[in-house]
Amino acid sequence: MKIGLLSDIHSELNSLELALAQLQRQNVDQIICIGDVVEIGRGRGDEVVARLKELAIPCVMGNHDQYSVGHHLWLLKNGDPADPQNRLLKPDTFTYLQHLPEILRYEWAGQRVVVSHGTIWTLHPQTRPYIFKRIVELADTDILILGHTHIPMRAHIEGRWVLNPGSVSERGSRTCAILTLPELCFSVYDIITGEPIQEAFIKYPHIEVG
Amino acid sequence: MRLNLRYDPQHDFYQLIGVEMSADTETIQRAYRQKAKEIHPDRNPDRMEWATEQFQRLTEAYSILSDTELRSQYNDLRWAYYSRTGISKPLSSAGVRSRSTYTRPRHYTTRPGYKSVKRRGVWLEERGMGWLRPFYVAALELMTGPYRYVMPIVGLILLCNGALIFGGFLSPSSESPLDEKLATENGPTSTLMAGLGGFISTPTPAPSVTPIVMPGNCTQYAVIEFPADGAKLTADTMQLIGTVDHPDLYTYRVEVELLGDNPRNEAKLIISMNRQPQILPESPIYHNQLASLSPLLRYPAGYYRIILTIDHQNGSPLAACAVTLYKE
Repeated sequence: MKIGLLSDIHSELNSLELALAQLQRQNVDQIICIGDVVEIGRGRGDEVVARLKELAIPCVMGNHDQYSVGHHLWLLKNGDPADPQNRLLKPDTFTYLQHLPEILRYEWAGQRVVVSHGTIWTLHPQTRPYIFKRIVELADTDILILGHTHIPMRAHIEGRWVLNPGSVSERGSRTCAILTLPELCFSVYDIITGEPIQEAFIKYPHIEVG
Repeated sequence: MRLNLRYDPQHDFYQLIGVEMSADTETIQRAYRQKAKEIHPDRNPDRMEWATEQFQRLTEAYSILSDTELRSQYNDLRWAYYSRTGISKPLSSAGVRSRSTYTRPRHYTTRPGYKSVKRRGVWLEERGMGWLRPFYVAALELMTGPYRYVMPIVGLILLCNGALIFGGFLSPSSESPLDEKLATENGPTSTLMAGLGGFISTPTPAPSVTPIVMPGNCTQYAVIEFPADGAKLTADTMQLIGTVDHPDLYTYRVEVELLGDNPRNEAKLIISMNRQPQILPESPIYHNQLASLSPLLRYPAGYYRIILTIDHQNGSPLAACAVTLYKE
């Protein structure tokens, strides 16, 4: 089973299309979006959300999605409707963002998979090992898929995996990733050139918590 | 490098011209011209010798400071002088770095209060006060030392604290009807607590927690209206409609559990959605969309249980409602 992962779109429709094209070229069975679909005052967020809805891509709530919902509510209450700077979300987009789940759990090929944006579970390559251990134990899973850092990463934490496909947006690494189960093969691709990219690899076979 | 270039603290070039050390070439030139007009020997016929000497020094200073290379050398010499000798820097040398060693400020030693300690306390210092003596000395030093102006304020603060603490002891206990109610309900233990008054604050009673209802039933606070219990889940019934209304409503949580082919199977939590507290406290929702179940599209066919929970601000669940569905 091939699972395509894309994260941190930040309302960039072009980047999303590039990533989708890349994943479709690889014949993935399912695509999952790992949060940060829109960003306040940037790009075409409504169209990005419409595209995700059209393809029925499961998505989790990212910090920027939370901010957008809050900003929308704030504008409704305090904003000046005549000001062209105050761009409200479409009602459908707002509802979609408001009801995004925080955590999705799957069980594919005997592996427990947890998908979360990582707003509070931020793990980047420099994070200290005991924090890795704590968060992986908290998530209670075999494979933990996170976003948020814009850095592609594959970490092996005491027999469990933490995966991050990086970001498709212009500010990030411009990558998407494919996870193949049950072989547990994780590969990161550049969305522009379509070539595989070496992600950050971290291995902590045993972590002592002192 | 000019060999005879050296730093003379008596005739600091920057002080002579009257500029900051960080001044640029134009400022130096302007200041030099101004100064030269003032002390030109032709303008000071009454003190010709002084003016000539000053004017020579000024010209020399300007010739050094107007040259970038020489000026940087001079700055180095000047900085080396001050960093070596530890003399406090002259007024116009704002650019000179301050010394790293710490010298005691003058007022620490020459404050008049310090000397008078000895004069005033001669008798007591000789005789002592028994075991109270160290306290006395400490108090005297505090009252006469450099902190003497701060001590009254500290004393006032301590006094206020004391007043608060002992005022709590003396104040009439169990003023509020809630305390009285507690006292009557809980008997002697609670009376003791009330007798202590404000000294030990009685913990605020936890809000009444409605017990969680078992799956299949719903309380009046959290109701899942659509889809109904036991319904079939199709692509067009992908939204959860219900009512959430509780006086202590903070957030509500929708969790989806996978049961598999048998509704009596052990449940596995697969989706958790938390309604973000954008407006606090969360306003009640009547007959409206509580969650979108579209992530379920990608899950396999089988039985699912959807649980709606209302959370209090302290994180305790207040009411819950659950329905079991079948997804084709």
